[in-house]
Amino acid sequence: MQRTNTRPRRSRLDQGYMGFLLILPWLVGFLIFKAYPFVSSLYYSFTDWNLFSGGSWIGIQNYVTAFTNPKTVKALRVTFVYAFMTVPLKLMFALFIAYILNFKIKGVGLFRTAYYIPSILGGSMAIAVLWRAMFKNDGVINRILTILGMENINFLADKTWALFIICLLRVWQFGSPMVLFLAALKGVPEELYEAASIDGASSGRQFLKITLPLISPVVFYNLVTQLVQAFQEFNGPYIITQGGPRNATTLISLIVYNSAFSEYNVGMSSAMAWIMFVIVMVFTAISFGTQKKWVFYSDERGDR
Amino acid sequence: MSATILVFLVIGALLTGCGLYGNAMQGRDVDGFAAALVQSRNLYLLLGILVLLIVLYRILYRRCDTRQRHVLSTAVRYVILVAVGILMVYPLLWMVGATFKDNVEIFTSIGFIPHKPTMEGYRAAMNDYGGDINIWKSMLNTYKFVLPRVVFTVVSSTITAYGFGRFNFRGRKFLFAVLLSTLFLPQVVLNIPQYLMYSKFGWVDSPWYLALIVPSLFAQETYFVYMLIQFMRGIPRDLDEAAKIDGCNIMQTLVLVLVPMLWPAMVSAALFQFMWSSNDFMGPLLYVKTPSNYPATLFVRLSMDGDAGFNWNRVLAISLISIIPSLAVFFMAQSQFMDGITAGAVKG
Repeated sequence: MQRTNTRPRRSRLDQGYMGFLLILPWLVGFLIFKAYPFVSSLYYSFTDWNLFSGGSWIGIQNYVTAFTNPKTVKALRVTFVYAFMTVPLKLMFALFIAYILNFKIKGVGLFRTAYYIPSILGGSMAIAVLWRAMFKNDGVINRILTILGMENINFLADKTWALFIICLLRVWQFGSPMVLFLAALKGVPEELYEAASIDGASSGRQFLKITLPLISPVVFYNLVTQLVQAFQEFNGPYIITQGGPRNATTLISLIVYNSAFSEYNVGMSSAMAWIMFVIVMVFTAISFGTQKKWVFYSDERGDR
Repeated sequence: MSATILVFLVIGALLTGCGLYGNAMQGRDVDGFAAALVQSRNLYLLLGILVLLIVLYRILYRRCDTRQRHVLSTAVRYVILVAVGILMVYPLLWMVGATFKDNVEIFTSIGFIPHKPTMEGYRAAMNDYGGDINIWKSMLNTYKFVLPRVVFTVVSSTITAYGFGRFNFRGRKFLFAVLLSTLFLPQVVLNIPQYLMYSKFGWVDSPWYLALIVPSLFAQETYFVYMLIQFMRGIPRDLDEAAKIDGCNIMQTLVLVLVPMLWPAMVSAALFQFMWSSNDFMGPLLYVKTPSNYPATLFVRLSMDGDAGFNWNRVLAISLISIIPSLAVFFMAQSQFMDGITAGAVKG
């Protein structure tokens, strides 16, 4: 008895020690590759650091420039427009398709796969090339417009359209939020719908009053991850439009990249990166803060 | 018949009428409003027919009994799913077709089946670019850093997840909170100091892709660590205890007991890391400078910038070749992908 009593205690101590050893590589990596860069970029943002020659402390000058220079102000505005155009469109589309797929439909797997392919490839260079080929002035999309009898649009040279094309590339990749919505919809108990039907609720009302509240945790998760992603968008505008026409698709991430690697102005670049970081944090905080108001966790009520 | 249906019926009829009128008037000398109708005749026709079909559906729906309604709505759902599916996949199909077209046909036909199939694009795609890089070499370069990254990420993430998921050490709660907060840390904030640091280490433009590989040894892709921890929570602790009683040490418990159970999650992590790393553009853009070391992403961009405007079949062929491995992996492991997404995100 004596032995069995002391052994587990000692081995638990051993274990605790081992646990720390196991996560040690992560901790070291975190300090070198995340914590240090994170703090030093905050420091750089208060300097006029040059990529090659160093620099000195200049206080909040970079931030003043960021909010007064028309180019950066425009980038901030464009980034907001981009994020608030892309995320709702993408999520609504994902939810709509998931909703239809959730009816007992044969070949769900096939459809799900077809809808998921763009998400797997969407970030690749190949798709950016394809997008440019399709939306070119004499590209396929304009051919289709001609057949429909509409005027051709110079998508990549038009200020509003160019941003929309970049946005469309992301909306096209609605696969992963869709898969998440689908999994959540499958978890909504069938009886609830049956009961609502008997009470005479229309399918629209059922969706608003039953489905949406029950899948709200997933809506929340998708909203946060997609917003964080959208604010950081880089590949699309960098490759397809190069930020043009006339900076209409220059998002903050492009300014961050360009000021550091074409103007070698590390200070300015870091300041823009930090502004973006704060924006992302604010939206994440808002989502988390308001979550109590609209996210419904079924375990809170203890009925599941 | 309700008022709404009537209104829609009128709108549909009007639109269709405009479309038909435009088609009839086509080629004649008209101006003003009629000219506009002729211009967009097919659009009007399309919209009109669409509205009329919706009206037809509503009318039918009202007349049907419950069983027929079920059939009808299922049919509509299939129509929507197929239509959206075509919309989703068509760009890719068009891309495959375009690689077999000549450069004139790419921009003159909207179908994806080439009229005069040619291998010209593929032949040109094999050419070297600037003498020291071609598509095959660049793809080889891609997997030179993607494969180590996949292996290192999975191993290091599993070990970290094991530490967080199964042990109670001092500061565990705090460190776990730190880990979770990095889930939302935008990479953009880190890029520049990382670049400055890696250039001090001599990792920029390293022929061994050190800047791209080394961080993966330290479980820095939080998403995977989190996914594995979530998965590990579902494995009963009794298994670990049993292994310990049987005399397994801590690493033996991990390798012999937990890894076989965790395997599906590890495979998902490997698959996602494979996709993300092969698509990664920012990393190579910052850390690979010598053209002969270019991975496929940079090579595709190089050829696009070089050829834009004339050799599109070549550029598209190169692009297509560069995504074939990813497509193949996806089709072989579809279900793991779907499971992987849900494993990381949905609780329980």
